Amino acid sequence: MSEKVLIVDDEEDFLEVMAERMKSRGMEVSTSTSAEEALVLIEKESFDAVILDFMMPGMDGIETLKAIKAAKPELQIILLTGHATVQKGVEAMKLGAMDVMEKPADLEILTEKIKIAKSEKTLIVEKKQDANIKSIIKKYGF
Amino acid sequence: MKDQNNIIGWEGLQFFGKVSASISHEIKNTLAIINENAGLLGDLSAMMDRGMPMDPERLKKVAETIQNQVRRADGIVKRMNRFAHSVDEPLKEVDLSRMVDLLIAIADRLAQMKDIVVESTGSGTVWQVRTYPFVLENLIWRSLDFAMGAVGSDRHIRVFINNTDMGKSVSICGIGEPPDAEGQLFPSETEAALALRLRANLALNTDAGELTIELPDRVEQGISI
Repeated sequence: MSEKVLIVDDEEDFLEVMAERMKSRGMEVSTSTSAEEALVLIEKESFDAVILDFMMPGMDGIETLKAIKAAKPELQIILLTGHATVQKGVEAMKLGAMDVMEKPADLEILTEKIKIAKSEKTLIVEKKQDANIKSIIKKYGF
Repeated sequence: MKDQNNIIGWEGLQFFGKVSASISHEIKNTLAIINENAGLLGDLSAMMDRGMPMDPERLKKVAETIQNQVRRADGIVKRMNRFAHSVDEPLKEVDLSRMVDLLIAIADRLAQMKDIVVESTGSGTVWQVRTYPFVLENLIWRSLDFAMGAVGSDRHIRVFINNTDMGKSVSICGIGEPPDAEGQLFPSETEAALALRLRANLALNTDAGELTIELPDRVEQGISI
């Protein structure tokens, strides 16, 4: 199954071309130009990874990361940044970002990270399902 | 009160750093778009190698995007160059209008982040003063930053330049209620030190939503005329 990715960036020229290139690599791609719109999409659809710009008008990358993790903890987030400081990068990783990459990013490296993100997410979801099954078995004494 | 020269020197370095960081971020964004389009050209040529037909319009669009981003980056670098040269001479004749336009252009990305429109109404007219350009840029930048932090509900800031009895004034309008009156008092010790060096007067009129920097027409090595 192909990786389902959401790219969030206020630079439309960037968004459009990156989405086209990812689609040509077999990924299923959605785009959003704002954090607010992205949060609505995340509630509606299931993604394997979110590629998130660190600095956008309105909610910034850190705020958006917190909001996504609160809504969908299993979702893997890769932050793209033009000038993040080491401190901001560490903060993002502590808040649950899978990785922080600097712009301009190498799409082949990003694609590899997206594949890892999908595996990570699948693992988290499976663990969650196992825990649920174990809890049901325990509750009903099967 | 801290030593005025120390405040101006340290603040000046911080100001230069902030502007450089903002400009480098903008350049990185244009490079990222150029990088993606170059990558797309690579993808398209690989597809053509495999015998897939290519619409020439598609290639034309990629070329146009790259040219637009090169123009954008060139504009950013020109602004950075003008800004960098403002430290060439500590005291010189400057056109206030050009200085305000430059600072608004440099602050544009920060304004966009905060969903604020900043515009100058004095473009096209020359408002000459002899002053410390870098210190004045720093003061106007800090004033714009304060105004953006306390912007009124229409999120629109306008900058006017006028003649006054003293010389010239730069007025920043569109200020609403400062979010935290305790922490947002203007001018701070830093702005006061910058104003003192420029022989300028600072006035914040919260009722009118206006911050004014009044400058002498000429400053001569510590003497204002």
